[in-house]
Order: sequence, then structure tokens, then C-alpha cells
Amino acid sequence: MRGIILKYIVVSALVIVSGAMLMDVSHHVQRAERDIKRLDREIAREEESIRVLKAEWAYLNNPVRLEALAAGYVDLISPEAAQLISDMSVIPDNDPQSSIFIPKRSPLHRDISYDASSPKPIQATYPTKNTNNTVPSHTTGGAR
Amino acid sequence: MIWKHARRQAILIDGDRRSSVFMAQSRLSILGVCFALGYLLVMVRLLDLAVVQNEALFQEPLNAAVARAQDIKSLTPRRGDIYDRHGFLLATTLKTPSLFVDPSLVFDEASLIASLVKIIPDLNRSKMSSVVQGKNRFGWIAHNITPAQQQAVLEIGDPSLGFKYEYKRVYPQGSLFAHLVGYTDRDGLGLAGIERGYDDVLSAGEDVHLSLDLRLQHVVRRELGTAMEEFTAKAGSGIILDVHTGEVLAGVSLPDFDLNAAGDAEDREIFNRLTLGVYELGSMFKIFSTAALLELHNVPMSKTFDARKPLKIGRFTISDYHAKKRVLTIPEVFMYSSNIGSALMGQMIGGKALRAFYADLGLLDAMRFDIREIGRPIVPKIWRKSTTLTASYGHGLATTPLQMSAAVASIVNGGMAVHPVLIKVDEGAIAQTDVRVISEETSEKMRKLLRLVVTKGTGRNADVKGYALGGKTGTAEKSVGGYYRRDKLISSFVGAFPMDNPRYVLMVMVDEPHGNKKSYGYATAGWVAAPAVKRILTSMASILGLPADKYDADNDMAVSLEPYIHDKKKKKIGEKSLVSY
Repeated sequence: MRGIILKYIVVSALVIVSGAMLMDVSHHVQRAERDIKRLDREIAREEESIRVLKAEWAYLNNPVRLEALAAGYVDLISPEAAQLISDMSVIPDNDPQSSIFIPKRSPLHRDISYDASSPKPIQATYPTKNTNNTVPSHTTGGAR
Repeated sequence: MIWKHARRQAILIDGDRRSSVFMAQSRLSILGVCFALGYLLVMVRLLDLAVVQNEALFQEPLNAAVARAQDIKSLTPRRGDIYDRHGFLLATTLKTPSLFVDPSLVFDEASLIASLVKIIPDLNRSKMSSVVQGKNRFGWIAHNITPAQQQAVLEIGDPSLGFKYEYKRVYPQGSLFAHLVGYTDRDGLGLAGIERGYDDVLSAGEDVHLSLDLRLQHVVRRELGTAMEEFTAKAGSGIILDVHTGEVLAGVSLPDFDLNAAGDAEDREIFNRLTLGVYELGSMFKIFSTAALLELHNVPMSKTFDARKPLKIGRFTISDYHAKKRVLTIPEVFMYSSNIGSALMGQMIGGKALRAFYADLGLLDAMRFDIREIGRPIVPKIWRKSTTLTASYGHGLATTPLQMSAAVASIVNGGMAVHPVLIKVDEGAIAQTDVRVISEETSEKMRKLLRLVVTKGTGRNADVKGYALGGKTGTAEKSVGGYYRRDKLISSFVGAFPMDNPRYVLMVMVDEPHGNKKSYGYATAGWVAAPAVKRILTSMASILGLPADKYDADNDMAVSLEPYIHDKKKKKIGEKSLVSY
């Protein structure tokens, strides 16, 4: 008889515990669902503002507008066709075959090149200012 | 006795019980196995749903939930965006608030209307009061208001006002792509351009990537506008075409209109002069008649045509604009754009063959294109003997500028037919067609002739040193009310470059230009359209990063044609112009 009572107590305790756990889980699920809905709304709102910002970015990048701004604020003009170069080897700086000796640009290398113990005499100058200017910074184009 | 009986009984029962217990046990275990299998099935399915199919099942409802959260009461998906070939946004759909009123909740009509007009200036007061006094519990006040206006309305705090969200088509580039991108009505139905031609794709929510290049489009529009302004012209159009893929890289028709206010545009602005308008483009047809002659008859470049006096046929008199009054070789006919010479070429080709050749180039039928605004060429109904002569220099034949540039592309690209497209072609895609229009050799000869026009002929004003541009001018008198008017011209120039292996075809057409001081009063193609093409080419080179070649006048493509050109002053030996970087 005592065994049976004990059995019932254990079983009903299990039922109560599992019921409580179920309640807890279902509560969690409900809260998670609410969170999902809220997050969905936030995502939708963010996506919408991304679209608006993209449209505004496209509008601000309108070439007519950019050209007017560039004419007013930038001290540069469009390059002439003859100023464009296709490969960098045209510039003596990068040409290994060039007879002109030009020290490397990076400070570290420059120190070595100017080392007095270096057997190679320093013959030539840096590329003239003019050479630097003919290198257009946008040979591959860009939104203009 | 009883005991004995009972015992027997017990033995009996015991035997029965044993067997029935055994039976029940086996039944139970079968049932148990069944249940276990059932649970196992459920577990497997759960595992499948939670782990294996997780992605597929839970992504889909999330998207649906996001769509629901947009709170737009519409089952149709958001219309797809339109991009240029580099991904610049040309058309998009934004969710915008629309303001409505519930008349039964209106407390003070006059002050409500007054404060609304302050926020949205273009409201119609009388229309407003009829909406506010309406019997329905719903009335629109304004569609698609701006976020700032919405905020101001919220600050009124009137309980009778409410918002519904609607989609609105927005074109960030304004009027830059007016005719090719096109526009929609308020319900998002495409009415023109790609919006109409690709309505089914866009309305299914898919994005469209066009072949157009925003930067080139701007350059063509700017330079065409400059030419129109400079020569006080009525209208114009311009194109850049890829000669291999047929992609339209830029397509402009002027005057144009702001796509965001398409409803306010005038008819002359909406009219698409690139694909819908048909024009007699004049001497450009000499490209095709000359190509036909070289293709169909094995004639040398030295073949001559007598252009000493005007040609009379029936009531027509064919004369030259740039009259040389002598016997001309083929290169001379082409570079001086001699009508008499071309008419004689046409005579040699014959009407049937010339017509068939034009048809092969797609000049006699409405072309297929990605937008629906397509003009049908005007072709003489009866092809008389005189028609052959006039058609060989483009008189009496009207085509769309797009059609013309596609035909030129077919001539210069090595002879393969080109069909223009407005949708981006994937890089590395195989050649568009394998329909050959002319042979490789004829194409090469034509390229030399076209280059000659720019180095020595009527198109000199288009020459850019270092870029082997070839082309042909076309100046045609407009037919007004059945008469050709000397003072109303259509000046156009079609060019291709680099001529040794063409990649791009450029064309500019200007409608009714007027000569000015700078052009010595001329309004012909060489003065109006050729400089515009030159400016487009110069800008295009820096945008696409196309460096100039070292220009060497002695190695120019057209040099090989020089023996066929009658030259009064012989070229001095040692005169060598070299343009370096």
C-alpha cells in the first residue's frame, strides 16, 4: 500500500514538474515569436530605409549634378585624350630597361640607394614634376 | 474432494491463464513495437524538420513575415529595380505614405484644411472640402507625400487623418534616361520604354540590368545638347553601340523630360527620336550602296564615275553638294559624298540587288528591340529605276537612327549582322548572330573608306589624333508637306572606332540646325554633327580608359587609298606629323 502511495506521489510530482516545464517552454516560444515579429518589422523598416538611401545616393551621384559641383569646387579639368596612358611602363620610373637610374620611392629603399658605400653612382634625378602630372589618377574611369 | 477439485481446477486455470497471459504479452509487445515505431517516425520527422530542412522551411516564412511587416495591402510583389550596366540605380520603387481622412471624425473642417494646405501646398481647397464633407468614412487627401510632410501631418495630431502606404516609382537620374527607361502609371503598369517592354519581368519583382552606361549616356546627352544649343536646333538623338554584342551603351533623344513628372511632359519631349522617329538620313546610305558595289561586283578602287555634270533622270536632277565637276574614283565619291557618283553606283548594282542588300541590313523593316516604341521605315512603295538611283544616296528612304547605327555596325565589325539590345549581355557570351551580311574583305575596304572620310573628306571635324575614327556625314533636306526644304536640314554623323578593329559605333543626329558665325553659316553634318562626335569620343576615351595610339599619318589605314585620290598639291616628302603622349 505504501509502495503504491509512493508511486503516485512520484508520478504526480513528475506531472507537475513536466507541466511547469511545458508552461515555461511555451512562454519562451511566445516571447520568441513576439521578438521575431518585432525583428521582422525592424528588418522591413531598415530595408525600406536602405532603399530610400540607395535612391538618394543615386540621385546625389547624378552626373549632371556632379559635373556642376566639380566645375565649381575642383581645380581640375577633364584630361585630353593624349594624356591617357595604357600601361605604367611608359613612365620611366617603372621601366627596368630604362637607362635613367631613379631611386625607389619608398623611404626605406631610398636610404639604401643613397648609402655612400653603394657602388652604383647616383646618376640621374627624380622624374620631373611633369611626368608625375601626366599620370591621370583615373585611367580606368570612374563615375563622372 | 473439494480441494482435489479445486486443484484440478487450478491446474486447468493455470494452464488457461498461462496461455492467455502469454498471448496478452505477445500482443502487448507487438503494440509496443508499433508505438515505438510510431514515436521513432515522429522523432525522425522532427529531426528532419529541425535540422535537415531548417533552411528551406524557416527562411521562406521569414520572408513572408517581412513582406507582411511592410504593411502594404497588396499581393503583388514590389516592382523590380532597373540598373545600368555597372549597377547604377536608374529606377526603383519606394514605399511612400498617402494621406486619407475619415470625414465622420472631423471636428473643425476649416482649420483642418488650412493646416493641411500649409503642409501640402498643391492641395485644391474646394476639392478638399468636398472630400471632408463626404458621406463615406474614407477619402484620399494626397498620394505619395514626402517623409517630412508626413511628420508635419503627424504633428497636427488630428484623429481623423490616417496614412496608407503605397508604392511609388522613383527615377533618381531624372531625365537622363527618359526615353529608354520609360515610366509607369500610378498603379505600376509600364507605359513606355523598358518599363513597358519588360513589364512582365519587372512586375514579377525581378531586377533588370540594362546595357546602358550612365557615364556615356551623360556624355552623349551633354554633347548633343551642346550641339543643339550651338546651332539652335529643334531636336536630336545620339547613340553609342557595341559593334560585337549589339549593346546600346548610350541612347539619347532630345528634348527630353523628367521621368518623375512624366505626366507633365509635352508630346515633343515624349517623342522618342532614337527608335520611333524615322528620318531621311541622306548620304549615310552611301556606306551601304558602296558596300553593296564592292560586295556584289568585283570592282577595283580605281573604278571611276563621271560626276562632271548633274544626272537627269525623268523629272529628277541629281547634283552634288560638294561638287568636284570631274571624274571620281570610288574613294573620291565616298569622301566628297558625291550624289552623282553614288547614283551611278546604284545603277551598276541594280534595283533588285540594292533593295535586297538594304533589306539584309534590316533597313527596310521595323526592327526588333527591347522597347516597344519602334518606328517603321518609310520605303518607296514602287521601286522604279529612278528610285534605285536616289536610294543609293539615301533620298526617299527614312529609317530610325538606331537602325542606321546597327546597319553601320554590321558593315564595320567584319560583316556580321548586328541586332541592338538594351539588356546587358554577359561578358564572354558567344557572338550574337552568325548571319553574314558582307565579307571580311569588303568590311575592311569599307573601314578604310570610312577612315578616309575623317582624314581627308567631309568628316574632318570629327578627327581626334590617336583614335582611328572613321565615319560618314549625312546632310538631308527635310521633306515638309511633300517638298524638300533647303533651309530645313537633318545633319548627322555616324562613326566607328578604332577603325582597324572597331569596337564602338557612335552616331549623332541633329534636327533643323541653323548655321552660325563659327560654322560660317553652314548647318551641314560636317559642321554640326561631326564636332559633337569628336567631343563624345574624347570624353568617352577618358571615361573608358582608352589611351590614344601614337599617331603616324604615314601609317594611317586610309593611306593605301591615296593613290586613288586626285591631289592638286602633292604631298611634300618628309612631312610627317607625329603626335606622342
